[in-house]
Amino acid sequence: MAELGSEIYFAGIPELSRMLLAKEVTALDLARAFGRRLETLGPRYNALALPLTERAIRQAKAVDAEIDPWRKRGHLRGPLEGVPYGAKDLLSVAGQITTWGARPFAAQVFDYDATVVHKLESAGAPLVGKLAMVELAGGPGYRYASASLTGPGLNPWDRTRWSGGSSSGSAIAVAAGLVPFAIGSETSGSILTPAAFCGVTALRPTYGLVSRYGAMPLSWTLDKLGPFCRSAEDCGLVLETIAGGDRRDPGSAGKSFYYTPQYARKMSDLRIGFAPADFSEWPDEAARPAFRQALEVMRGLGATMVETRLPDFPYGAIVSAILSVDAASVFEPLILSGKVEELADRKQIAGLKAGLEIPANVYLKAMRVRRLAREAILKLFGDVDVLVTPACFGTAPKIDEPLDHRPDRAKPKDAGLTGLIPAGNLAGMPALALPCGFADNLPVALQLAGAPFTENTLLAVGKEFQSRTDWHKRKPSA
Amino acid sequence: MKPSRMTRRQLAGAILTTAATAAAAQAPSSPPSPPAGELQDARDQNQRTGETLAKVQVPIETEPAFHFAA
Repeated sequence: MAELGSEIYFAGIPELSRMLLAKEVTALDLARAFGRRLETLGPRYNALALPLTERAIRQAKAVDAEIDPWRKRGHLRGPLEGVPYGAKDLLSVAGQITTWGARPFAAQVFDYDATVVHKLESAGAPLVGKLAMVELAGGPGYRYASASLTGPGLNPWDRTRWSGGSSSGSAIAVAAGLVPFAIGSETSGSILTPAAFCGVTALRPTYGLVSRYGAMPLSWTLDKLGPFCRSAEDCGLVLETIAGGDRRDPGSAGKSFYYTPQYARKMSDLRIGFAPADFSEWPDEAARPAFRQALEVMRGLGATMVETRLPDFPYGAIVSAILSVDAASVFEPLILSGKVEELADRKQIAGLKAGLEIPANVYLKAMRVRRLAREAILKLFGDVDVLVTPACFGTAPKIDEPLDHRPDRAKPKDAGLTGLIPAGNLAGMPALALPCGFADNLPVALQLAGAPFTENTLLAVGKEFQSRTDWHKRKPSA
Repeated sequence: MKPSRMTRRQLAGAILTTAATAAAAQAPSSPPSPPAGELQDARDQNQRTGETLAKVQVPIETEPAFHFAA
Protein backbone atom coordinates (compact mmCIF):
# COMPACT_ATOMS: atom_id res chain seq x y z
CA MET A 1 0.00 0.00 0.00
CA ALA A 2 1.35 3.41 -0.96
CA GLU A 3 2.09 5.79 1.91
CA LEU A 4 -0.70 8.36 1.85
CA GLY A 5 -0.29 11.83 3.31
CA SER A 6 -2.94 13.10 5.69
CA GLU A 7 -3.96 15.81 3.20
CA ILE A 8 -5.53 13.13 1.01
CA TYR A 9 -8.37 12.73 3.52
CA PHE A 10 -9.55 16.25 2.70
CA ALA A 11 -8.91 16.15 -1.05
CA GLY A 12 -11.77 16.85 -3.43
CA ILE A 13 -13.01 14.37 -5.98
CA PRO A 14 -11.13 15.88 -8.99
CA GLU A 15 -7.84 15.71 -7.03
CA LEU A 16 -8.41 12.07 -6.05
CA SER A 17 -9.28 11.31 -9.66
CA ARG A 18 -6.11 13.01 -10.86
CA MET A 19 -4.03 10.97 -8.41
CA LEU A 20 -5.65 7.75 -9.61
CA LEU A 21 -5.06 8.67 -13.24
CA ALA A 22 -1.40 9.51 -12.52
CA LYS A 23 -0.92 6.21 -10.63
CA GLU A 24 0.03 8.14 -7.50
CA VAL A 25 -2.52 5.97 -5.70
CA THR A 26 -4.66 2.96 -6.53
CA ALA A 27 -8.34 2.47 -5.81
CA LEU A 28 -7.25 -0.18 -3.32
CA ASP A 29 -5.04 2.35 -1.49
CA LEU A 30 -7.98 4.71 -1.15
CA ALA A 31 -10.49 2.06 -0.09
CA ARG A 32 -8.13 0.72 2.59
CA ALA A 33 -7.11 4.16 3.85
CA PHE A 34 -10.60 5.63 4.07
CA GLY A 35 -12.14 2.37 5.29
CA ARG A 36 -9.67 2.12 8.17
CA ARG A 37 -9.99 5.80 8.98
CA LEU A 38 -13.78 5.52 9.08
CA GLU A 39 -13.57 2.42 11.31
CA THR A 40 -11.06 4.09 13.64
CA LEU A 41 -12.46 7.61 13.91
CA GLY A 42 -16.12 7.07 13.03
CA PRO A 43 -17.05 5.76 16.52
CA ARG A 44 -15.36 8.82 18.06
CA TYR A 45 -18.19 10.91 16.59
CA ASN A 46 -20.93 8.22 16.70
CA ALA A 47 -20.85 8.49 12.91
CA LEU A 48 -20.46 4.86 11.90
CA ALA A 49 -23.39 2.44 11.62
CA LEU A 50 -21.65 -0.42 9.81
CA PRO A 51 -18.10 -0.70 8.45
CA LEU A 52 -17.86 -2.21 4.97
CA THR A 53 -14.10 -1.98 4.41
CA GLU A 54 -13.68 -5.56 3.18
CA ARG A 55 -16.53 -5.11 0.70
CA ALA A 56 -14.96 -1.82 -0.45
CA ILE A 57 -11.59 -3.52 -0.90
CA ARG A 58 -13.18 -6.12 -3.20
CA GLN A 59 -14.83 -3.32 -5.20
CA ALA A 60 -11.56 -1.38 -5.37
CA LYS A 61 -9.61 -4.41 -6.63
CA ALA A 62 -12.16 -4.79 -9.43
CA VAL A 63 -11.70 -1.12 -10.32
CA ASP A 64 -7.90 -1.42 -10.34
CA ALA A 65 -8.13 -4.48 -12.59
CA GLU A 66 -9.90 -2.47 -15.26
CA ILE A 67 -8.35 0.97 -14.86
CA ASP A 68 -5.20 0.74 -17.01
CA PRO A 69 -6.90 0.81 -20.45
CA TRP A 70 -8.67 3.99 -19.31
CA ARG A 71 -5.41 5.53 -18.12
CA LYS A 72 -3.98 4.97 -21.58
CA ARG A 73 -6.85 7.01 -22.99
CA GLY A 74 -5.90 9.86 -20.67
CA HIS A 75 -8.99 9.79 -18.47
CA LEU A 76 -10.82 7.48 -16.13
CA ARG A 77 -14.17 5.80 -16.85
CA GLY A 78 -15.93 8.47 -14.78
CA PRO A 79 -15.22 11.07 -12.10
CA LEU A 80 -16.07 8.76 -9.18
CA GLU A 81 -14.08 5.73 -10.32
CA GLY A 82 -12.05 4.50 -7.35
CA VAL A 83 -13.33 7.28 -5.03
CA PRO A 84 -14.69 5.79 -1.76
CA TYR A 85 -17.90 6.98 -0.13
CA GLY A 86 -20.28 6.37 2.75
CA ALA A 87 -24.08 5.97 2.70
CA LYS A 88 -26.70 6.94 5.26
CA ASP A 89 -27.99 3.80 6.93
CA LEU A 90 -31.43 4.16 5.40
CA LEU A 91 -30.13 2.86 2.06
CA SER A 92 -30.32 -0.87 1.50
CA VAL A 93 -27.18 -2.76 0.58
CA ALA A 94 -27.81 -6.39 -0.33
CA GLY A 95 -26.96 -8.78 2.48
CA GLN A 96 -25.88 -6.04 4.90
CA ILE A 97 -27.65 -4.77 7.99
CA THR A 98 -29.74 -1.65 7.38
CA THR A 99 -30.97 -0.28 10.72
CA TRP A 100 -32.68 2.98 9.71
CA GLY A 101 -30.95 4.23 12.88
CA ALA A 102 -33.59 2.54 15.02
CA ARG A 103 -33.42 -0.29 17.55
CA PRO A 104 -36.54 -2.12 16.25
CA PHE A 105 -34.73 -2.54 12.90
CA ALA A 106 -31.27 -3.34 14.31
CA ALA A 107 -31.15 -6.73 12.57
CA GLN A 108 -32.89 -5.80 9.30
CA VAL A 109 -31.31 -7.09 6.09
CA PHE A 110 -32.49 -6.54 2.51
CA ASP A 111 -31.53 -8.70 -0.44
CA TYR A 112 -31.11 -5.89 -2.95
CA ASP A 113 -29.18 -2.64 -3.37
CA ALA A 114 -30.79 0.78 -3.34
CA THR A 115 -30.65 2.38 -6.79
CA VAL A 116 -28.10 5.00 -5.67
CA VAL A 117 -25.86 2.28 -4.22
CA HIS A 118 -26.12 0.35 -7.48
CA LYS A 119 -25.38 3.45 -9.56
CA LEU A 120 -22.34 4.34 -7.47
CA GLU A 121 -21.06 0.77 -7.65
CA SER A 122 -21.46 0.84 -11.44
CA ALA A 123 -19.48 4.10 -11.46
CA GLY A 124 -16.64 2.38 -9.59
CA ALA A 125 -17.07 4.10 -6.20
CA PRO A 126 -16.32 1.68 -3.33
CA LEU A 127 -18.74 1.88 -0.38
CA VAL A 128 -16.63 1.93 2.80
CA GLY A 129 -19.43 2.12 5.36
CA LYS A 130 -23.02 2.78 6.35
CA LEU A 131 -23.32 6.06 8.24
CA ALA A 132 -25.28 6.86 11.39
CA MET A 133 -28.58 8.70 11.34
CA VAL A 134 -31.36 9.91 13.59
CA GLU A 135 -33.79 7.04 14.09
CA LEU A 136 -36.32 6.74 11.27
CA ALA A 137 -34.81 9.94 9.80
CA GLY A 138 -36.45 11.90 12.58
CA GLY A 139 -39.98 10.69 11.88
CA PRO A 140 -42.52 13.34 12.82
CA GLY A 141 -40.07 15.02 15.22
CA TYR A 142 -37.67 14.28 18.09
CA ARG A 143 -36.52 16.13 21.17
CA TYR A 144 -32.93 15.00 21.79
CA ALA A 145 -29.78 14.51 19.72
CA SER A 146 -29.58 11.05 21.29
CA ALA A 147 -32.56 9.91 19.17
CA SER A 148 -30.42 7.34 17.38
CA LEU A 149 -29.32 3.74 17.69
CA THR A 150 -25.72 4.95 17.56
CA GLY A 151 -26.08 7.79 20.07
CA PRO A 152 -25.97 11.51 19.33
CA GLY A 153 -23.97 12.60 16.29
CA LEU A 154 -20.96 14.48 17.70
CA ASN A 155 -19.81 17.53 15.78
CA PRO A 156 -16.21 17.22 14.47
CA TRP A 157 -15.67 20.92 15.27
CA ASP A 158 -16.64 20.44 18.92
CA ARG A 159 -17.72 17.08 20.25
CA THR A 160 -19.88 18.66 22.93
CA ARG A 161 -22.10 19.92 20.11
CA TRP A 162 -24.58 18.05 17.94
CA SER A 163 -23.85 17.27 14.31
CA GLY A 164 -27.38 18.02 13.21
CA GLY A 165 -29.67 15.44 11.72
CA SER A 166 -31.09 13.32 10.46
CA SER A 167 -28.15 12.68 8.08
CA SER A 168 -25.74 12.97 11.03
CA GLY A 169 -23.10 10.45 10.01
CA SER A 170 -23.03 11.67 6.40
CA ALA A 171 -22.17 15.23 7.47
CA ILE A 172 -19.73 14.14 10.18
CA ALA A 173 -17.87 11.71 7.94
CA VAL A 174 -17.24 14.32 5.25
CA ALA A 175 -16.34 17.06 7.76
CA ALA A 176 -13.86 14.84 9.62
CA GLY A 177 -12.23 13.53 6.43
CA LEU A 178 -13.50 9.98 6.94
CA VAL A 179 -14.88 9.75 3.40
CA PRO A 180 -14.51 11.99 0.32
CA PHE A 181 -18.29 12.14 -0.08
CA ALA A 182 -21.44 10.66 1.41
CA ILE A 183 -25.09 10.17 0.55
CA GLY A 184 -27.80 11.48 2.86
CA SER A 185 -31.50 12.18 2.68
CA GLU A 186 -33.85 15.05 3.35
CA THR A 187 -37.58 15.14 4.00
CA SER A 188 -37.48 18.62 5.54
CA GLY A 189 -34.03 19.80 6.62
CA SER A 190 -32.10 16.55 7.06
CA ILE A 191 -29.42 17.44 4.49
CA LEU A 192 -29.19 21.21 4.93
CA THR A 193 -29.11 21.26 8.74
CA PRO A 194 -26.27 18.79 9.38
CA ALA A 195 -24.31 20.23 6.45
CA ALA A 196 -24.58 23.70 8.02
CA PHE A 197 -23.67 22.53 11.54
CA CYS A 198 -20.69 20.47 10.33
CA GLY A 199 -19.37 22.95 7.74
CA VAL A 200 -19.67 20.83 4.60
CA THR A 201 -21.19 21.47 1.19
CA ALA A 202 -24.33 19.47 0.44
CA LEU A 203 -27.03 19.37 -2.19
CA ARG A 204 -30.72 18.59 -1.77
CA PRO A 205 -31.79 17.72 -5.32
CA THR A 206 -35.15 18.45 -6.91
CA TYR A 207 -37.80 15.96 -5.79
CA GLY A 208 -37.81 12.99 -8.16
CA LEU A 209 -34.37 13.61 -9.69
CA VAL A 210 -32.65 10.87 -7.62
CA SER A 211 -34.38 7.52 -7.23
CA ARG A 212 -35.51 6.65 -3.71
CA TYR A 213 -35.78 2.94 -4.51
CA GLY A 214 -34.22 1.02 -1.64
CA ALA A 215 -34.33 4.00 0.74
CA MET A 216 -36.43 4.01 3.90
CA PRO A 217 -39.68 5.84 3.13
CA LEU A 218 -40.73 8.58 5.53
CA SER A 219 -42.95 10.84 3.42
CA TRP A 220 -43.57 9.78 -0.18
CA THR A 221 -43.93 13.24 -1.69
CA LEU A 222 -41.13 14.86 0.32
CA ASP A 223 -38.22 12.35 0.53
CA LYS A 224 -35.05 13.17 -1.45
CA LEU A 225 -31.52 11.70 -1.55
CA GLY A 226 -28.47 13.91 -2.06
CA PRO A 227 -24.70 14.24 -1.68
CA PHE A 228 -22.51 15.66 1.10
CA CYS A 229 -19.17 16.78 -0.34
CA ARG A 230 -16.17 19.13 0.02
CA SER A 231 -17.35 21.59 -2.62
CA ALA A 232 -20.17 22.56 -4.94
CA GLU A 233 -18.19 21.07 -7.82
CA ASP A 234 -17.99 17.70 -6.06
CA CYS A 235 -21.77 17.82 -5.46
CA GLY A 236 -22.28 18.25 -9.21
CA LEU A 237 -20.08 15.26 -10.00
CA VAL A 238 -21.89 13.01 -7.52
CA LEU A 239 -25.35 14.20 -8.56
CA GLU A 240 -24.59 13.43 -12.20
CA THR A 241 -23.86 9.85 -11.17
CA ILE A 242 -26.83 9.22 -8.88
CA ALA A 243 -29.56 11.11 -10.78
CA GLY A 244 -31.81 9.52 -13.37
CA GLY A 245 -35.22 8.03 -13.98
CA ASP A 246 -36.22 4.82 -12.23
CA ARG A 247 -39.48 2.95 -12.78
CA ARG A 248 -39.15 1.41 -9.31
CA ASP A 249 -39.61 4.86 -7.76
CA PRO A 250 -43.17 6.12 -8.34
CA GLY A 251 -41.98 9.68 -7.63
CA SER A 252 -39.19 9.56 -10.21
CA ALA A 253 -39.18 12.53 -12.57
CA GLY A 254 -37.64 10.38 -15.29
CA LYS A 255 -34.90 12.96 -15.84
CA SER A 256 -31.12 12.71 -15.90
CA PHE A 257 -28.70 15.37 -14.72
CA TYR A 258 -25.52 16.44 -16.47
CA TYR A 259 -23.15 18.65 -14.53
CA THR A 260 -22.24 21.34 -17.04
CA PRO A 261 -20.18 24.11 -15.40
CA GLN A 262 -18.82 24.96 -18.85
CA TYR A 263 -22.30 26.14 -19.85
CA ALA A 264 -23.07 27.99 -16.61
CA ARG A 265 -24.89 31.26 -16.99
CA LYS A 266 -22.81 34.36 -16.37
CA MET A 267 -23.17 35.69 -12.85
CA SER A 268 -24.08 39.05 -14.34
CA ASP A 269 -27.12 37.43 -15.98
CA LEU A 270 -28.49 36.12 -12.69
CA ARG A 271 -30.86 37.67 -10.18
CA ILE A 272 -30.39 36.55 -6.58
CA GLY A 273 -33.25 37.10 -4.13
CA PHE A 274 -32.59 37.79 -0.48
CA ALA A 275 -34.28 39.38 2.55
CA PRO A 276 -32.11 41.78 4.61
CA ALA A 277 -33.77 40.67 7.87
CA ASP A 278 -32.47 37.13 7.31
CA PHE A 279 -28.92 38.44 7.68
CA SER A 280 -29.31 41.26 10.22
CA GLU A 281 -32.21 40.33 12.52
CA TRP A 282 -32.95 36.60 12.47
CA PRO A 283 -29.48 35.10 13.09
CA ASP A 284 -28.08 34.60 16.57
CA GLU A 285 -25.98 37.60 17.60
CA ALA A 286 -22.69 35.71 17.29
CA ALA A 287 -23.49 34.51 13.77
CA ARG A 288 -24.49 37.87 12.29
CA PRO A 289 -20.98 39.06 11.29
CA ALA A 290 -20.34 35.86 9.34
CA PHE A 291 -23.68 36.06 7.54
CA ARG A 292 -23.28 39.75 6.74
CA GLN A 293 -19.81 39.09 5.34
CA ALA A 294 -21.16 36.18 3.28
CA LEU A 295 -23.88 38.41 1.86
CA GLU A 296 -21.20 40.90 0.81
CA VAL A 297 -19.31 38.13 -0.99
CA MET A 298 -22.57 37.16 -2.68
CA ARG A 299 -23.10 40.78 -3.76
CA GLY A 300 -19.58 40.77 -5.21
CA LEU A 301 -20.30 37.88 -7.59
CA GLY A 302 -21.80 40.30 -10.10
CA ALA A 303 -25.39 39.07 -10.00
CA THR A 304 -28.26 41.49 -9.47
CA MET A 305 -29.37 41.30 -5.83
CA VAL A 306 -33.13 41.61 -5.40
CA GLU A 307 -34.99 42.01 -2.12
CA THR A 308 -37.76 39.45 -1.90
CA ARG A 309 -40.10 37.59 0.49
CA LEU A 310 -41.66 34.16 0.58
CA PRO A 311 -45.40 34.08 -0.08
CA ASP A 312 -47.37 33.93 3.16
CA PHE A 313 -48.31 30.30 3.87
CA PRO A 314 -48.11 28.18 7.05
CA TYR A 315 -45.26 26.08 5.66
CA GLY A 316 -44.41 24.44 8.98
CA ALA A 317 -47.99 23.31 9.56
CA ILE A 318 -48.30 21.93 6.02
CA VAL A 319 -45.11 19.88 6.35
CA SER A 320 -46.09 18.73 9.84
CA ALA A 321 -49.48 17.39 8.74
CA ILE A 322 -48.16 15.63 5.64
CA LEU A 323 -45.09 14.17 7.30
CA SER A 324 -46.93 13.03 10.44
CA VAL A 325 -49.61 11.16 8.50
CA ASP A 326 -47.17 9.63 5.99
CA ALA A 327 -44.76 8.52 8.73
CA ALA A 328 -47.58 7.04 10.82
CA SER A 329 -48.79 5.10 7.77
CA VAL A 330 -45.29 3.87 6.83
CA PHE A 331 -44.65 2.73 10.40
CA GLU A 332 -48.18 1.62 11.31
CA PRO A 333 -47.06 -2.01 11.80
CA LEU A 334 -44.28 -0.79 14.13
CA ILE A 335 -46.76 1.32 16.11
CA LEU A 336 -49.46 -1.36 16.38
CA SER A 337 -46.96 -4.07 17.34
CA GLY A 338 -45.80 -2.03 20.32
CA LYS A 339 -42.19 -2.17 19.11
CA VAL A 340 -42.36 1.59 18.60
CA GLU A 341 -41.61 1.80 22.33
CA GLU A 342 -38.07 0.58 21.55
CA LEU A 343 -37.25 3.90 19.89
CA ALA A 344 -34.89 6.16 21.85
CA ASP A 345 -36.91 9.38 21.78
CA ARG A 346 -40.22 9.70 23.66
CA LYS A 347 -41.34 12.63 21.52
CA GLN A 348 -40.90 10.61 18.35
CA ILE A 349 -42.84 7.67 19.81
CA ALA A 350 -45.71 9.98 20.76
CA GLY A 351 -45.62 11.75 17.40
CA LEU A 352 -45.86 8.48 15.47
CA LYS A 353 -48.81 7.29 17.58
CA ALA A 354 -50.63 10.60 17.32
CA GLY A 355 -50.05 10.67 13.57
CA LEU A 356 -52.43 7.73 13.19
CA GLU A 357 -55.22 9.90 14.60
CA ILE A 358 -54.94 12.90 12.25
CA PRO A 359 -58.21 13.16 10.32
CA ALA A 360 -58.20 12.70 6.56
CA ASN A 361 -59.65 16.18 6.03
CA VAL A 362 -56.61 17.76 7.74
CA TYR A 363 -54.20 15.75 5.58
CA LEU A 364 -56.07 16.60 2.40
CA LYS A 365 -56.30 20.27 3.37
CA ALA A 366 -52.54 20.28 3.86
CA MET A 367 -52.04 18.74 0.42
CA ARG A 368 -54.40 21.26 -1.18
CA VAL A 369 -52.75 24.23 0.52
CA ARG A 370 -49.43 22.77 -0.57
CA ARG A 371 -50.47 23.04 -4.21
CA LEU A 372 -51.32 26.73 -3.74
CA ALA A 373 -48.05 27.33 -1.87
CA ARG A 374 -46.03 25.60 -4.59
CA GLU A 375 -47.63 27.71 -7.32
CA ALA A 376 -46.98 30.91 -5.38
CA ILE A 377 -43.35 29.96 -4.66
CA LEU A 378 -42.65 29.05 -8.27
CA LYS A 379 -44.00 32.44 -9.34
CA LEU A 380 -41.13 33.97 -7.35
CA PHE A 381 -38.74 32.45 -9.84
CA GLY A 382 -40.15 34.71 -12.53
CA ASP A 383 -38.34 37.52 -10.69
CA VAL A 384 -35.25 35.76 -9.37
CA ASP A 385 -33.09 32.78 -10.33
CA VAL A 386 -31.75 31.91 -6.89
CA LEU A 387 -32.79 32.59 -3.30
CA VAL A 388 -30.13 32.99 -0.62
CA THR A 389 -30.58 32.90 3.15
CA PRO A 390 -28.76 31.41 6.16
CA ALA A 391 -29.22 27.63 6.22
CA CYS A 392 -29.65 27.83 10.02
CA PHE A 393 -29.69 31.02 12.07
CA GLY A 394 -27.32 29.73 14.72
CA THR A 395 -24.62 27.18 15.36
CA ALA A 396 -24.92 23.56 16.44
CA PRO A 397 -26.70 23.09 19.80
CA LYS A 398 -25.15 21.23 22.73
CA ILE A 399 -25.74 17.50 22.52
CA ASP A 400 -27.90 17.32 25.67
CA GLU A 401 -29.95 20.43 24.86
CA PRO A 402 -33.66 19.84 24.05
CA LEU A 403 -33.92 20.57 20.34
CA ASP A 404 -37.45 21.92 20.57
CA HIS A 405 -36.62 24.47 23.26
CA ARG A 406 -34.04 26.85 21.80
CA PRO A 407 -33.63 30.11 23.78
CA ASP A 408 -36.63 32.39 23.40
CA ARG A 409 -36.11 35.82 21.89
CA ALA A 410 -38.39 38.26 20.17
CA LYS A 411 -39.06 37.32 16.56
CA PRO A 412 -38.39 40.04 13.97
CA LYS A 413 -41.51 41.37 12.26
CA ASP A 414 -40.15 40.72 8.79
CA ALA A 415 -40.43 36.96 8.07
CA GLY A 416 -38.04 37.28 5.09
CA LEU A 417 -37.20 33.83 3.75
CA THR A 418 -37.29 32.13 7.15
CA GLY A 419 -39.61 29.34 6.02
CA LEU A 420 -37.41 28.39 3.07
CA ILE A 421 -36.51 24.88 4.30
CA PRO A 422 -40.13 23.64 4.66
CA ALA A 423 -41.26 25.78 1.69
CA GLY A 424 -38.48 24.45 -0.53
CA ASN A 425 -39.25 20.86 0.42
CA LEU A 426 -42.98 21.32 -0.17
CA ALA A 427 -42.29 22.77 -3.63
CA GLY A 428 -39.74 20.06 -4.49
CA MET A 429 -37.02 22.70 -4.99
CA PRO A 430 -33.27 21.99 -5.03
CA ALA A 431 -31.05 23.65 -2.43
CA LEU A 432 -27.33 23.88 -1.77
CA ALA A 433 -25.71 24.32 1.66
CA LEU A 434 -22.51 26.40 1.46
CA PRO A 435 -20.18 26.90 4.46
CA CYS A 436 -19.81 30.66 4.88
CA GLY A 437 -17.93 31.34 8.11
CA PHE A 438 -17.74 30.64 11.83
CA ALA A 439 -19.42 31.82 15.01
CA ASP A 440 -18.09 30.74 18.41
CA ASN A 441 -15.63 28.50 16.51
CA LEU A 442 -18.49 26.57 14.92
CA PRO A 443 -19.43 26.60 11.23
CA VAL A 444 -22.39 28.45 9.76
CA ALA A 445 -23.69 28.15 6.22
CA LEU A 446 -25.78 29.73 3.52
CA GLN A 447 -28.62 28.04 1.73
CA LEU A 448 -29.09 28.64 -2.00
CA ALA A 449 -32.43 27.50 -3.41
CA GLY A 450 -33.81 27.51 -6.93
CA ALA A 451 -36.73 26.40 -9.08
CA PRO A 452 -37.02 22.66 -9.74
CA PHE A 453 -34.27 21.24 -11.98
CA THR A 454 -32.00 24.30 -11.74
CA GLU A 455 -29.20 22.45 -9.95
CA ASN A 456 -26.61 23.65 -12.47
CA THR A 457 -27.42 27.27 -11.65
CA LEU A 458 -27.15 26.68 -7.89
CA LEU A 459 -23.88 24.80 -8.36
CA ALA A 460 -22.48 27.59 -10.55
CA VAL A 461 -23.27 30.23 -7.92
CA GLY A 462 -21.88 27.93 -5.22
CA LYS A 463 -18.70 27.30 -7.19
CA GLU A 464 -18.20 31.02 -7.77
CA PHE A 465 -18.75 31.74 -4.05
CA GLN A 466 -16.23 29.02 -3.14
CA SER A 467 -13.68 30.42 -5.60
CA ARG A 468 -13.71 33.61 -3.47
CA THR A 469 -13.81 32.02 0.00
CA ASP A 470 -12.06 29.16 1.73
CA TRP A 471 -14.64 28.22 4.38
CA HIS A 472 -15.27 24.90 2.65
CA LYS A 473 -11.57 24.05 2.91
CA ARG A 474 -11.29 24.48 6.68
CA LYS A 475 -10.57 21.31 8.67
CA PRO A 476 -11.74 20.57 12.21
CA SER A 477 -9.18 19.64 14.84
CA ALA A 478 -11.60 18.17 17.41
CA MET B 1 -39.62 -3.68 0.81
CA LYS B 2 -39.37 -7.30 1.95
CA PRO B 3 -36.67 -8.02 4.53
CA SER B 4 -34.82 -11.25 3.81
CA ARG B 5 -33.86 -13.89 6.36
CA MET B 6 -30.61 -13.39 8.27
CA THR B 7 -27.84 -15.89 8.71
CA ARG B 8 -26.65 -16.61 12.24
CA ARG B 9 -23.42 -14.75 11.47
CA GLN B 10 -25.34 -11.67 10.37
CA LEU B 11 -27.51 -11.85 13.48
CA ALA B 12 -24.43 -12.09 15.70
CA GLY B 13 -22.97 -9.11 13.87
CA ALA B 14 -26.14 -7.15 14.40
CA ILE B 15 -26.17 -7.85 18.12
CA LEU B 16 -22.49 -6.93 18.46
CA THR B 17 -22.96 -3.77 16.42
CA THR B 18 -25.95 -2.77 18.50
CA ALA B 19 -24.14 -3.40 21.76
CA ALA B 20 -21.04 -1.55 20.65
CA THR B 21 -22.88 1.45 19.34
CA ALA B 22 -25.10 1.67 22.38
CA ALA B 23 -21.99 1.72 24.55
CA ALA B 24 -20.56 4.47 22.37
CA ALA B 25 -23.45 6.79 23.03
CA GLN B 26 -22.05 9.61 25.10
CA ALA B 27 -25.09 11.64 25.98
CA PRO B 28 -27.93 10.43 28.17
CA SER B 29 -30.89 9.11 26.28
CA SER B 30 -33.98 11.26 26.44
CA PRO B 31 -35.30 11.36 29.98
CA PRO B 32 -38.37 9.24 30.55
CA SER B 33 -41.54 11.23 30.76
CA PRO B 34 -45.13 10.17 31.30
CA PRO B 35 -46.16 8.60 27.96
CA ALA B 36 -49.69 9.93 28.37
CA GLY B 37 -48.34 13.48 28.70
CA GLU B 38 -46.13 13.13 25.63
CA LEU B 39 -48.98 11.67 23.63
CA GLN B 40 -51.30 14.46 24.69
CA ASP B 41 -48.65 17.02 23.70
CA ALA B 42 -48.43 15.42 20.26
CA ARG B 43 -52.22 15.41 19.91
CA ASP B 44 -52.37 19.06 20.96
CA GLN B 45 -49.73 19.89 18.37
CA ASN B 46 -51.74 18.11 15.68
CA GLN B 47 -54.84 19.99 16.80
CA ARG B 48 -53.02 23.32 16.41
CA THR B 49 -51.76 22.24 12.99
CA GLY B 50 -55.32 21.45 11.90
CA GLU B 51 -56.56 24.80 13.18
CA THR B 52 -53.81 26.65 11.34
CA LEU B 53 -54.62 24.88 8.09
CA ALA B 54 -58.34 25.44 8.54
CA LYS B 55 -57.76 29.20 8.37
CA VAL B 56 -56.35 28.98 4.83
CA GLN B 57 -58.97 29.57 2.13
CA VAL B 58 -58.67 27.07 -0.72
CA PRO B 59 -60.54 27.44 -4.03
CA ILE B 60 -62.89 24.50 -4.58
CA GLU B 61 -61.07 23.43 -7.75
CA THR B 62 -57.74 23.00 -5.93
CA GLU B 63 -56.77 19.33 -5.92
CA PRO B 64 -54.35 17.81 -3.39
CA ALA B 65 -50.69 17.93 -4.43
CA PHE B 66 -50.25 14.24 -5.18
CA HIS B 67 -50.32 12.68 -8.56
CA PHE B 68 -52.24 9.72 -9.90
CA ALA B 69 -52.24 8.55 -13.50
CA ALA B 70 -54.30 5.66 -14.83
